Amino acid sequence: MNRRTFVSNAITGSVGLALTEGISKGDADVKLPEPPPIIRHGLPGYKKSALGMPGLFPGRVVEVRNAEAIQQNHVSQPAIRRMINRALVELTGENSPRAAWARFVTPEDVVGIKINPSGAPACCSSPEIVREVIRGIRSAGVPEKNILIYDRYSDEIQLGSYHALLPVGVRIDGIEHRAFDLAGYDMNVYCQACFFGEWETRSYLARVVSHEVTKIVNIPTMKDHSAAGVTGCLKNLGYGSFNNVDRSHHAPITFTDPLIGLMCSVEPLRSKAVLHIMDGMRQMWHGGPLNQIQQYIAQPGILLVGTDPVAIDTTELALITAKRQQEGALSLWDRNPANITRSREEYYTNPRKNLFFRQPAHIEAAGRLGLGVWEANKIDHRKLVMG
Amino acid sequence: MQEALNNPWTTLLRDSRRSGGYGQWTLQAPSKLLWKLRLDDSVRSSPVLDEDLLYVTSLDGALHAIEVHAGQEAWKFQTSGSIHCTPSICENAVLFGNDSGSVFALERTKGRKIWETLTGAEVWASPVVLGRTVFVGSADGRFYALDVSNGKPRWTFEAGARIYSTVYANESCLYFGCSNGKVYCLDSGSGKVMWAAETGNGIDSSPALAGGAVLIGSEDFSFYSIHPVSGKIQWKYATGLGISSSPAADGNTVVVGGKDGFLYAFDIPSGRLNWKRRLGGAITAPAVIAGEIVCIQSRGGGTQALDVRTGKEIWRARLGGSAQSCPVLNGNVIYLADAQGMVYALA
Repeated sequence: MNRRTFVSNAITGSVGLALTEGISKGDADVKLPEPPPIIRHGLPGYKKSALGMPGLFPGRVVEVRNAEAIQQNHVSQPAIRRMINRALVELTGENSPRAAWARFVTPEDVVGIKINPSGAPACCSSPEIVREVIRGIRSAGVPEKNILIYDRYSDEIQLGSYHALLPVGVRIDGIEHRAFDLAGYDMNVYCQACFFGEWETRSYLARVVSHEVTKIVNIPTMKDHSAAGVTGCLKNLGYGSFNNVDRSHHAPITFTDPLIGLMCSVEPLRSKAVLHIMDGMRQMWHGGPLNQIQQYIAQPGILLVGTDPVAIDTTELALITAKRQQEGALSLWDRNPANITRSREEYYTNPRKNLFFRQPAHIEAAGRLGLGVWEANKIDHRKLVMG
Repeated sequence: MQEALNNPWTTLLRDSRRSGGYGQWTLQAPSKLLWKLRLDDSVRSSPVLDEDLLYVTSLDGALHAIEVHAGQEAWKFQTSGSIHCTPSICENAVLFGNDSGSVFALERTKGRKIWETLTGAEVWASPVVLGRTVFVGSADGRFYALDVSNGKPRWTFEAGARIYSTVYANESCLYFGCSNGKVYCLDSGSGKVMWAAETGNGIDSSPALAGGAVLIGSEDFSFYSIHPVSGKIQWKYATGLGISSSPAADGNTVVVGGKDGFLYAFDIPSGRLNWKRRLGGAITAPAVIAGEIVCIQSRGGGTQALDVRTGKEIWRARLGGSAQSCPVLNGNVIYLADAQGMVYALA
């Protein structure tokens, strides 16, 4: 069966008329629409870096667990420090955290830290991890003024109170301050496609990525995602660095597969993203990415560290799949139209409902673009337990 | 016909006491839009009011003076950085900071610049004037005491961590929170540290002083009552998530919003929870107490008024809904600003 094909006895009315072309109502064999052609336009003349995705250690994922790292929803700064240090030494084979950091950044770099404040305040990149990443980058000789913590939305950064939780000297900024704010985007770097007849068919790359930072350290969160299946390294980078991405969803259809991977493959985003530290202190296993209901946010105290975003996201997918199975939630691969709801409230509160036919295969698609290893049996998954 | 009163509302939560409203607000919901004005950018601060002018800052770096009867811009002053700072009014001046690190004093009625003083990083805290001194913290980790007439520093205090908390100032002491998790009490004249009380994480909230307590929220998921002289923690209350909202106090009651979506009301002397009410999304804007009501904007929840004694909703307006801005209540007119750059006058 094609990954966009599913079996159904009936299809709900929630499928929009514009989307019915590839969907035959009531047929036994139902097919999701194929994505339209997507044009990628990178920064002209940009020279690809060997540190770019999948980076120095393709296929390697260091998983660190520490039950003491989060207790009653409070993240422990000392525990995070030990976990990141241990993971980086394991990842790189260097004999000190400072030497490990020096594999990725140099004193001349301007380093962007891509956080994920979407889901704040309940589940967003932990400030304790951001602090330790800043500390690590500083240890490699990068001055504070050359460290920029960024995301697309300044209001979500503010909601996460990152400005009041990070050290003096680093910059913290959002790319968009209000709806339709294009000022922070580079009109020369884009992905172009018409998904649902939208008038603006381009998504532009943030200017801080194309022109300001020289390296990116990515701190995604461990969350399920209503459209993409899960949101991890790839989605945090792609949909968090290009604008106008909501147009790739029209419930219940989403083209996150293949758009997420395609965006991550655009230069210079691909070359600049050199390290990924997935924040699994909290794990949103249903209702992602924005659910605020604590019942659906576990606290496993995990970090996944590597240079290969596909391998990390594959590992994340397995962890969230296991948690959802344990909790009796729908499979992330569920294609039953009867499980689709139009109500966000119902979706947030019922793990047996979906808003979209989710697309966790976006991870494999990114792998096929050369961004990393998606085959579980080829991933060098190193598990460490601390605490 | 409902009318506005010419009461001043000169800084965050009206005055340095953080008392909020005037007590004249009725229990009726606003039913009439007097005017609305679209600014060029998002508003991430609270308006302030003096006489006929409402002052609103916006992210495009402008301070707007809006004539409140007509709802038209009287003048605006453009700076080179974004503005997240709630302005303050002192005699003939309106003061505010911007993200380029400047603190400005403008002539209040015409918008002419009186002085500009540069700090080392963004200024989101609202300047507070006491006597002839302007007190303000900066994200450069310093707290500044500036001469109100020329902006020259009288003294600075090096906290070493970002300051976004608006100071509570009285004749003897200055109270503010800091991103190192400490609540500071400085001597107003010298800047000497009288005490520093530790919380468990950074502080975004601005303190109130009422009922013999310094009242402030922390990102450590707790709300604190601290003795104003000794710095000893008198009580604290654990909430579900962090608190970046600033409390409003009236008599023995203090009200504060949490990121867990609850608005909390406490008895100040005892720390007893009087009530808590879930409003919807995270609450990060300050609340305002006005007579029998507490009024607040919340993310996705519009503007709501609740009974200050019980927490029961009295009315709700689907306007505003800013995550950072608190309403100005003046007589029977309410002024709101929101993240989309809209400013409303409702009656």
